[in-house]
Amino acid sequence: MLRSNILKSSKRLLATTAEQSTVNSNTEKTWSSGSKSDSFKAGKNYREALLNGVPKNGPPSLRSRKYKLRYTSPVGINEAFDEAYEFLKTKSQNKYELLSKETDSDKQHQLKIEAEINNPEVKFNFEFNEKLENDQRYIDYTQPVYRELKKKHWENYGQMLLMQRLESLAVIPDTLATLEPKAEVSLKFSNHTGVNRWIEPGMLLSSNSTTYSPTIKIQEFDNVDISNELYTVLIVNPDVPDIEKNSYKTQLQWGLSNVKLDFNDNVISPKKLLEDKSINEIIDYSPPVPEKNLPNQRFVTWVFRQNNVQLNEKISTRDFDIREFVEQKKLLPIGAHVWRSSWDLNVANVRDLYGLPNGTVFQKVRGKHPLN
Amino acid sequence: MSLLTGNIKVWRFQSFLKSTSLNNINNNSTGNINGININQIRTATKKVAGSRTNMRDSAGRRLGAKVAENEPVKIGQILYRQRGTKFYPGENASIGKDHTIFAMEPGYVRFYMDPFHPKRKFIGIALKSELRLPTPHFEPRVRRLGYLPIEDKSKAQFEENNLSRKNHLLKPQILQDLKQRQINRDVLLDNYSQKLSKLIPNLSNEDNKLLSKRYLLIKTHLQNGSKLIESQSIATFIYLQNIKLNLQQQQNSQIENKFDELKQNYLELIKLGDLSISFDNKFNLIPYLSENDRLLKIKELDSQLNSIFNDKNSNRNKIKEQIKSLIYNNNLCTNTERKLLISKYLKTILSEPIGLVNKSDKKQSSISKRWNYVKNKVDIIARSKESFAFK
Repeated sequence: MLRSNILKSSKRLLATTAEQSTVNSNTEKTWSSGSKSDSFKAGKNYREALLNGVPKNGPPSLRSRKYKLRYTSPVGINEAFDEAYEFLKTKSQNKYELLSKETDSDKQHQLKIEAEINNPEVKFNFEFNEKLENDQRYIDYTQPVYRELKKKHWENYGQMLLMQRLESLAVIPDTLATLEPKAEVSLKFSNHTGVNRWIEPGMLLSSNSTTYSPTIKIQEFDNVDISNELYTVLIVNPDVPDIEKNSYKTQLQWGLSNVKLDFNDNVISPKKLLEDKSINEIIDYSPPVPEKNLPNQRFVTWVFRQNNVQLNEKISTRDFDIREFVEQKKLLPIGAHVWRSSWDLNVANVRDLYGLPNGTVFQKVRGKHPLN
Repeated sequence: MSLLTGNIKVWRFQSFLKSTSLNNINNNSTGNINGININQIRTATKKVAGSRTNMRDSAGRRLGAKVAENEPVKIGQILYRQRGTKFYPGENASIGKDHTIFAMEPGYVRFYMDPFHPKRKFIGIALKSELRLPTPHFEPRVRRLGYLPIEDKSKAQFEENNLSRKNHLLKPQILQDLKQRQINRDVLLDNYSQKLSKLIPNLSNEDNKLLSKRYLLIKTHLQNGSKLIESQSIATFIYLQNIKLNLQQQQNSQIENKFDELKQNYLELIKLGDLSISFDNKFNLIPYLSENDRLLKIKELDSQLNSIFNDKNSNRNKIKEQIKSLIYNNNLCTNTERKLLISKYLKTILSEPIGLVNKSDKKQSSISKRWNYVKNKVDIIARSKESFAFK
């Protein structure tokens, strides 16, 4: 059913008010059974306007009555929209028909995306709702189309920023050779400070904020069998001073394996750590305690797929060769994150809390003695 | 316009003719045009002898390599002097303003090419004599620490306390702020523990302290936008982590058992606490209220306000005060709910058809003017007393 009467459009040419819509608001305009259209964050009136045209009292995006009254729809826009909508709908139905015959998983995934990617409701849901901490009622990442949209969104900024930071801070190749990012890794410290803020890769954090282990969110985009997949998370510090060798060594700050994730519920938070007994803690969390007068230290979070292999190993020593470990356990790196720490007045308190020995104080001026 | 351009074209043609005829004259060294004899003379244009400006070459600038391949060098040592960049600085080398290449690290000189810049030649420093440059692209960098620890304990202590000017100046203020925050926190803690002892009467002092600390932390997380369940688990997690660390430092032989015991006790305690305590909208502790119960109470408030609002018999001003106090003193509604209630019950002028009267009846009505965007003119609106909820 068309949203507006074509005969009325001639009148609308002269009208200064919003068009009178002759809408049956109950018309069902959802393309797939999976789209959860009845719950809509932006309000019912937004959804109705999106699917059924501009209502009688002006578009809902205009708040003030003044502007609502002034609003005039462009001539023929509703008819054009209807035509376009019908066209896209038939195209999408074609895709669904193809999908019902398809058996290959990857192609099915692609068809599912193609069928819904032009759905105005899907686009609206994604555009106007929280993407990182998603509400499943509006953005449901179990649906391939939302994952695809999020992937595009991430590739436009987040991924580029991450890779730039990893390269300019020489995280690659200092820890692992390189990274082909497949999943978005976000990190924050939900701890005694109460600060609730996602960390941008490369940020310099105080020793107070990193006292307790971070909360890590891993958003998968690929068509993986997520119910069977296991994940490993390693946090390494490649900047531990090695005075004997006059160089640096790598330490493992925290290690988790056998982490089960979901497309929506994918945060390794204190809650998950308390409840999920299947998670194997390779080594317990050791906070950043940089030494005085040394350059900033990098703390690199690496996330791996385990390829369905259980990893029940525990490590007791902190000295760590991440390249060897990854090769041995056949882990596939899918994402990374990095933050930096430097010495501050609170480091001594953190050492005290964790029972670590006093930090070494280094000379302010860098010496000239060569590498052995 | 066309006239003007026509003129220019004509003028250009004439000048072209002139120049061609002159060229003809020049080509013949002597010629006879219209009976005039022209003899061309070549005058001297070049100085025969040398002058002061020549022969003033500077001494050689001693450019070129100052070190050989694999030669050990110190920091800052000059490797190559050049005009322009014949060589580029490679690994652990840098370039000066006159393009002099010098060492940034002690090591061994390498002249090399890099596949990433096939047209450039590099001079770099390998930190070890056996290393080749460039370092393979995917291998970790070879790095020199260079910093030495201060062995003398008192000197080390002195250096640790030594702050930059900026931090030194900031430190007293930071300490003061810390102290103030601690005081504020103590006040809140005290408040919470008093409330707790009322809400859960038979609670031991220690448990009271634990729970009030827990709720203080949950409060900060809630204020920063975390969800209640998340905040609760963060508080639990941090407490457990703290006791674990504490036990590890005591080097107790039965750490595991002790930890499990303490953990069990704490989990039972918080189960009791979380089932008997909630937060109100100003983060005070109140008896436990589930979300559904809270919504029910808000509904009750709404209906109560409705009945008061529609009470025709009592004084409207008094009603307004009553509604205000009910809305603003309610400790269960969220900010959004409060705003909705305010817009519903504290509006002075009721929505439109109520109380609109004919404007001719001026004594009975109050007149206001409003711009009508549809008709593009001013509307005069007359309202009777009915249309005002309060005076």
